[in-house]
Amino acid sequence: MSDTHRHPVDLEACFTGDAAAWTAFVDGTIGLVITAVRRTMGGPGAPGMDVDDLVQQVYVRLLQHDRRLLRSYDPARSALSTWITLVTRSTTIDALRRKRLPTVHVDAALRIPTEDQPPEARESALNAIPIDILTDRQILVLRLLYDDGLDVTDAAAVLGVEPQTIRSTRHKAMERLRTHFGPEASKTTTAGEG
Amino acid sequence: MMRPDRDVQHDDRETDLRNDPGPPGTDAMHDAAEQLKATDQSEPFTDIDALVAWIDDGDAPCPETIEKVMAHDPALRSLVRDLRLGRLTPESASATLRNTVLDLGMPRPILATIGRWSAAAAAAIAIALLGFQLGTSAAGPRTLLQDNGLAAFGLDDTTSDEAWVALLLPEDAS
Repeated sequence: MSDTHRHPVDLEACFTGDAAAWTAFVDGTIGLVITAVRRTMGGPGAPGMDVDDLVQQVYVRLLQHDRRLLRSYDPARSALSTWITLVTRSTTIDALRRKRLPTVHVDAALRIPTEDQPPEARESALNAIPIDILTDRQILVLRLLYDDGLDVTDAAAVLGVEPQTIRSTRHKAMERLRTHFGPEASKTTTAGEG
Repeated sequence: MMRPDRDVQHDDRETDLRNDPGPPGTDAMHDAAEQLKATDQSEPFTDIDALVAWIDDGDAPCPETIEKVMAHDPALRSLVRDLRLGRLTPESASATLRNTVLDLGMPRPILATIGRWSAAAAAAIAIALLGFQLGTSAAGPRTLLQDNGLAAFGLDDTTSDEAWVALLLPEDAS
């Protein structure tokens, strides 16, 4: 984690209601809160939900009950940016659940992608793979590599493993898929895997 | 945290499933759909402390519980990925939103709070007194005979046969 994301905020002063400290806290976190809200909502916005409202809800939650949630942050354990991002995600999910937003049925997301579809539509290609034949780690590695478009080094950095582990995991996943889908599927995957 | 090496990017992209036509047949897809129904409807990962601790511990391998959640939650995976790689870009906030949020946490002086309540109470009392004064000055002198309410009757009628009428009607009507 980059140190630029560690905001020099006097949290103790925030707890006591110091205006300058609160201003520094808000200025240091509000951009990440907005980003995390948008990411959790899954796009620029959702019907019936306003990003600004959700951002305010995050800060209200931090301040509720004499700043109980804010006081629970431990600088020794994590960067403020990481913590506030995940607190934002949690708050946003709670708000979305309360709103009961319409969701896409899983069957609709499992259509085989075609070349003329946009990348986000083609992301569902991995969804067509029966998940019981792959381990969670194998699914995660394939999603990082093929859904998220990371290279092996970045995927290794995300998971905290060596790049060779990623390659090995991918190779084993492909072997399982070949075994499962038979020789016809292996024609399409052998060409790409070296 | 290991640093990304962009030079190896193309060497490692061996199979692109996004361009793969996918597995033949629909049975496997049906099974996958059923399994995903069960998987994706599970409760989201809520152990924020564990997740935060792992994200900021750059060299720590991903715990199985977190792997499982990330494998099936694209939004969480997106956040974790960018946090781990230091690529989460803060957006800029509008001045209105910033001011609103700042106002949420600004201390409210006790005296100011008391002052607002006192002013509201004083205003209410003043309005009540003013209303009473206006009402008093607008009302002219009234006599008992001018009142035609239920209580307007003469006590001397109570012995008559129609005394009950006096209880209900004004004196001039009876």
